[in-house]
Amino acid sequence: MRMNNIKFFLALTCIFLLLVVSACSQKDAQLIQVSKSKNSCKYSKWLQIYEGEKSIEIKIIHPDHPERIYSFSCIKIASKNLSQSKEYILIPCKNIAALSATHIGMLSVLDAENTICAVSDSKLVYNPSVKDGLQSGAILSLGESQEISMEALLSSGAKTIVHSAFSGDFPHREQLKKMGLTCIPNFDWREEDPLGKAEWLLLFGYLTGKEELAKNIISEITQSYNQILKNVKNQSKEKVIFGNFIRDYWYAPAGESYNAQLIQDAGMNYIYRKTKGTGSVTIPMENILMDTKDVKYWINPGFSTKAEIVKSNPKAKNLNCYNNGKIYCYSHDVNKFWELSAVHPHLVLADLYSIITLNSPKNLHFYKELR
Amino acid sequence: MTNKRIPFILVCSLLLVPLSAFIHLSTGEITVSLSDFFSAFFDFNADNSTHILIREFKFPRIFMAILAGGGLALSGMLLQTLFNNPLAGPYVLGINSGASLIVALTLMSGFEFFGTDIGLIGSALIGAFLAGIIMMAVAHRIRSQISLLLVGLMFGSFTSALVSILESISGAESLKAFTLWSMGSLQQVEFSQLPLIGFVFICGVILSFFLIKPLNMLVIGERSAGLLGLKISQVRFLIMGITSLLAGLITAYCGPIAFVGLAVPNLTRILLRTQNHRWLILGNLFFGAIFLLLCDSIIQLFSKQIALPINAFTSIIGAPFVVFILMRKLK
Repeated sequence: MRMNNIKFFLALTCIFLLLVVSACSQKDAQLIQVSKSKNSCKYSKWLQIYEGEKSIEIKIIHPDHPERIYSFSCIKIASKNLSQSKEYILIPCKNIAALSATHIGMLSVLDAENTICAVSDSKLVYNPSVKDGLQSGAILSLGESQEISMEALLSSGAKTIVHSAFSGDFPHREQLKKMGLTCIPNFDWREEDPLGKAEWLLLFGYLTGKEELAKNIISEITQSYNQILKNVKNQSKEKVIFGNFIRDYWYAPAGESYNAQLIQDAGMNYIYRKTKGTGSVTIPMENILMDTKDVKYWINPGFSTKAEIVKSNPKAKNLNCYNNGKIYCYSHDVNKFWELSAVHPHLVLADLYSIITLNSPKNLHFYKELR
Repeated sequence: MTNKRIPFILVCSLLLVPLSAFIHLSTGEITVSLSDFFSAFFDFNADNSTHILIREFKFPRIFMAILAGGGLALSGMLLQTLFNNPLAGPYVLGINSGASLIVALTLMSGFEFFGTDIGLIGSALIGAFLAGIIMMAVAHRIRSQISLLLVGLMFGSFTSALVSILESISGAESLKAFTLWSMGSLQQVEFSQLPLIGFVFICGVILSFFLIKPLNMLVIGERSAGLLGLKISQVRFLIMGITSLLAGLITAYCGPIAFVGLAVPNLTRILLRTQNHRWLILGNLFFGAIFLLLCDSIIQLFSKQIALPINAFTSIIGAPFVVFILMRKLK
């Protein structure tokens, strides 16, 4: 009797082990299936998209915690037998809450503004059809991006929320998930490569079912960008400064930042190109005066006239580049820049290249000389 | 013995002012020689970057540190004597907050006039004066020193809330202008503005010297001073006027700078051990200047590592000092 019991337990253990092994091998097979497919993003550091046979896997890596990966499976047909451990997005998405200017810009490039049902910071919207939607009430304004109105969000009927995740996860993410809403963090603003930032267009392409169009646009952008890079043979001799004073300090793009990459690609002789960091560098007021003694170009002061610069900080009129140089900025049409520059890095590059190589560049896409 | 000790300390502190200014000059990111410093004034060359650096950047900053430190300390001392409260000061009693509120109102109104020097000084002065009048009315009813302090802090919170509401409804440009101003800075003043600022400051200091006798009488209490023939309401009005002039002027150009007006007058009393306002006025002017010059020198020293606003740094030093004073009083 005891022997029989032992045999019974051994058999049971073997069956259990077999089940576990087979489950693991199935899971491995699934993983292999996804990982075997090629990542559609070539330049992006934080976005990965894999096209599987049955679904599209989107993986978003948190830049500050790379071990934290947001995974989404895009499916075309809803099913009741879906795994509870995964987060699914039914594509094409019909109701997207686009909570950043760049998101609106990317959706507009795909001609998918009609999928937008809610936006934040509505005062800063540039896109005419989104503006019309806001005016007619078809698109809801959710307030400022840092203080989103949850009630307005829920009443907008949004099913997919794309947010910039400046301060971590979207508020009430888990509760919203239970209500069937998917929150997708967008870290395009943390990309250091301009083409990597533009590649976030693919995310919107897959979400809206316009992935082929998105791929074609990215391909064209990459070609144009590389074409300009070929034209840039040598670094310009003229020195360039970026940024402006914020009260007592000058904030400029750090040497390893997204902007610094664009500046370097345009062949500009940026004076802080050797600084470390991917954000911005802080320079004391005194240093700026001495560092910019022979700087001829001042880019992105954040104002649209020279008078506005001096009004903001009277010390600016002591700078050589203010008195004897040329100043360019996008501030005359700032909303256009924030909405479209991320998805058109080739146009920003073309503008910067024209500024540094031509005497009086005309037909700039985003920039204008300050008078 | 005492008579000699106080002048000795004051002479030493007077000598420490240029020494602190020299330390300030040498802790900057770009050091300049003394010969360059003087040639920037007596042999100025507009094409020489070092001359521009000294005239437009270094000198106005040092000048404002001296004036703001001395002016805030002096106005703090006047308030402490007026309210007979060592915890009084332009920041704690909401004088700075009043100035901030009116500056916010005027800057965000969008009128060009309020962006000018006169407009800015005028609005800060009116705001500081109104806040002072309110606090005087409250002090008339409240005898407890701690309660008055709490009312001042509440007043500060109230005006901050009003400023926040103004910020939320104002346009982007005016909001930007006010936000930058409220960060506090010794570096925004231009060389050409210094004569006007210096003139108003000197007026405030001279007027306070005329009040030495009434200030000394107020030390024994308002009632006793009244019995000795002091016209209390007239003196109150004058003290509040001078305080508003000095605190308003400094707040207008440098933004709010916390705790200098509270910490330095107490420090001066501890060091001089006198209630004679002849010495206290001088002591506050010198110690205030030294205090702010040294604070700003430390900010300069670490400017590459951390972008610290002057208001934040004076709070870091001043807040523990207030706790120290409170502890001493409670003992």
